[in-house]
Amino acid sequence: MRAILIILFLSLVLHSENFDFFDKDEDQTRESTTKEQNATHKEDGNSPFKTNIELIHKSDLEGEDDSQNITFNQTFSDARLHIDYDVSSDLDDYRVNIKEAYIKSKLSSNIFFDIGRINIREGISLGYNATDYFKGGGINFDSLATSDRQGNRLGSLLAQGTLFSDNYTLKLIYSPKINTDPDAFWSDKEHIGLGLDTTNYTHRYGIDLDVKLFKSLSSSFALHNNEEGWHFGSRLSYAEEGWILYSENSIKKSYSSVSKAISELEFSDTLKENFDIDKKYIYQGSLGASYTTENNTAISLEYIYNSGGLDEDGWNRYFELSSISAGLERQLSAVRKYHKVNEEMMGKHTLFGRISINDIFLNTDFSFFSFVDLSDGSSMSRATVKYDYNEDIIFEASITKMFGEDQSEYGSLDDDTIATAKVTYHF
Amino acid sequence: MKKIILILMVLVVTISSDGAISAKNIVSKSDKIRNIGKSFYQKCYITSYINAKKSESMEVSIYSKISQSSGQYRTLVRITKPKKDKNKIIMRQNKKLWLYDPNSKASIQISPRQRLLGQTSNGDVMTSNFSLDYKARLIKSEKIKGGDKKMHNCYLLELKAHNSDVSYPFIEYWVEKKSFRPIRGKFYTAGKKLLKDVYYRKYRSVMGATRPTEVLIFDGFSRNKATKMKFSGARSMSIPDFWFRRSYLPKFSGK
Repeated sequence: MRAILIILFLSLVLHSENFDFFDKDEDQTRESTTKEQNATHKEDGNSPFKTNIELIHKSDLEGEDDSQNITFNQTFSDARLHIDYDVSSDLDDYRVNIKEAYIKSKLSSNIFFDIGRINIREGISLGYNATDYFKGGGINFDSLATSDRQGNRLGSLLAQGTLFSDNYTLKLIYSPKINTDPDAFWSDKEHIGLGLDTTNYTHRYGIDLDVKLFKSLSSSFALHNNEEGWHFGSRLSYAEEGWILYSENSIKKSYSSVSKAISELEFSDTLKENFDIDKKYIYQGSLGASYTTENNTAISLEYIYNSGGLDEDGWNRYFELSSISAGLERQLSAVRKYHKVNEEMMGKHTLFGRISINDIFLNTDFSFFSFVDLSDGSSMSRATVKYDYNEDIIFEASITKMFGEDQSEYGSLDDDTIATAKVTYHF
Repeated sequence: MKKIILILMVLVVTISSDGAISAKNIVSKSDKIRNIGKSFYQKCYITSYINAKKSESMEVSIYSKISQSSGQYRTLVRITKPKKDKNKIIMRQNKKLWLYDPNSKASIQISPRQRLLGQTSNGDVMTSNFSLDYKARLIKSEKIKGGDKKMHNCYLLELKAHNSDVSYPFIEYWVEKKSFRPIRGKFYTAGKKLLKDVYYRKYRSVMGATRPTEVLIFDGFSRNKATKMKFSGARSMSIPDFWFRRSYLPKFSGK
C-alpha cells in the first residue's frame, strides 16, 4: 500500500514537473516577451534592413596560395548594396568589388521595377544552370562550384520590370553594352573598379514567362537576345511527395564556349585547327531529381549535357597539345580560366550529386557534393560543415578535393585540395 | 423477425455513420477554433527550452489565406528574428514547402518535418485544417489535464493522414466536448513513435472567436525539451493569390 502511495505521489510530481518548470519559466519570460513585443512593434518586425559581414580564409593545403576575403552585405528597404573586399597575403594586393547596388521600386501592387547593378541568378538546376543568361563577370576563380560562382560574380548593369498575376509572372530585362575602354573608370582593373566591361560586354534584352501548367508542374520560358543571336530556354519542375524532378534547357545558335575562348583570346592557329570553332546550334541542359527524407536529408542527382563541351577525344586533344609546348599549355590554361570566369562547363557529359543533412548534430548542418566528368571519370568533391554558434554568428568550414589522373579534367588542376573557413556575423 | 433485423441493421448503420460524421464534425469544429477562417496576418514568438532554461528564440510573421479550390490554407512565413535568418521566407503552396533565402536569392523545396526551432518544425507554423488532411475516428470520451492544469472532459480522436505530405502521419487528438476547443495532441511517426506532445492553451478572443494563443510542444523523446509558440497581433488582411508564386518570393515585403 505504501509502495502504491509512493508511486502515485512520484507520478503526480513527475507529471506536474513539466508544467511547473514551464510555468515558472513562463513567469520569468513573460516580462521579456512583452519587451520583445514592444520592441518589435516599435521597429516593425517586418523591417527589410539586414546587414552581415563575412570573413573568408582560403588556402590550398600546401599553404602556398592563401587569400582573405571580407564581404559586406546591406539590404535597405528599397535598395541593396553588396561589397566584396579581396586581399591576398600581400596586404597591398587588395580589391574592392561592388557586387550589387540597385534600387527597387513598386509601381503598383503587382508591378515592380529594379534598376542598377543586379546579380540575376536564373535557373532551377543544382549543378549547372543553362538558362542563367547573366552569368559571367566572376570575381573569385577559386571555386568551380555553381553555387559559389553565382554568389561570387559581379551583377550586370540592367533594368528589369516584373508583372505578377495569379496565373503567370512576366519579366522584361534590358542590359546595355558598356564601352570596353580599358582607361575608363568602369573598366578599372586596379584596387577599386566596377568591372562593367566584363559584365556588360554585349547588349542584352529578354523576356521571361513563368506559368503553372498544372497543379504540381511549374514551368518558365525565357527568350533572350544578345549580339550573338537568340537564346531560348525552358525550366520545368515537378514536385510530388518529397520528390522534385527538374529539367533546364537552353538552345542557341552560337559559338561553343571553347571556340569563343580560342577566338576572343586570339590564340594560335594550332588551337583553331584542332577545335571546332564554327558557329552552330549549341544545346546545354540538365535533368535531375531531388528527394527529401523524413529526417531532414536531401539527396540530389543531376546529369548535365553541353553539346559544345569536350568529350573524351576533345580532352585527349587538349592534353596532347598542352604537352607540345609551354606556349600552348599557357593558352589552354587560359581557355580553362575563361570557362571559370564565364561560369561554363568545359566537359560534354557531367554528373552532379549532392547530399545535405540539416541538424546532423546540434545546430550543425553537413553537405557534400561532387561533379564527375563522365568522359574521364575525374571529379571535384566538396564537404562542408556549418555550425550556428549563436543567433548572430555562423561558422563554416569546407574542404574541396580533385580526383583523377594527371591528364583528366579535374585531376589536372594545380590546386588539388583547397580548405576554406568562413565566419559570418549578422548585425 | 425480418422487420426486427431490418430495424437493427438500420440502427447499426445509423449509429456507425453518425459516429464517423461526428468524428469529422468534431475535428472540423475544432479546426474553426484553432484557425482563423479568413485571410489573416499574425505574429508568432517561438521559444525553446531545455531543462526549463531558455535555449533559442525566433519571431515570425505569418500570412495565411484559404485556397478556394482545396479549402486548405496557403501560408507565407517570414522570419523576423534572429538576425541570421531575418527575411528568410517559408511558403506553403499545394502541400509543398519552399524556403527562400535572400542571401543566395534561391528558393528550394524543404520538408515540413524539418526542424525550424526547438521542437517546432516548418509544418507547425503553417496554418492547417486537420479535417482536410486526416481521416478522423472517435475512440472514446476521456477526462484529461490540459495545458492550463485544469481537467477537461474531452473526445479522444484518432487522426490518420490521407497523404504523405503532412508533417505527422498519425495524431491522437483531444477536443473538449462542450466547446470543441482543442486541448491536446500527440503526434506520431508512421511507426507510432511519439514525436511531440502538444497542448493548446491561453484561450483568448481573437477575430470573432475564442482561440488558443499559445501552443506548448514537448519533445516525444525527452520531456525536458519544450517549445512555446505564442501568437499575437492577428488581423484580417487581403492577400493576393500571386503572393504564393515562387517567383514572387524575392519581391515579398508583406505589404
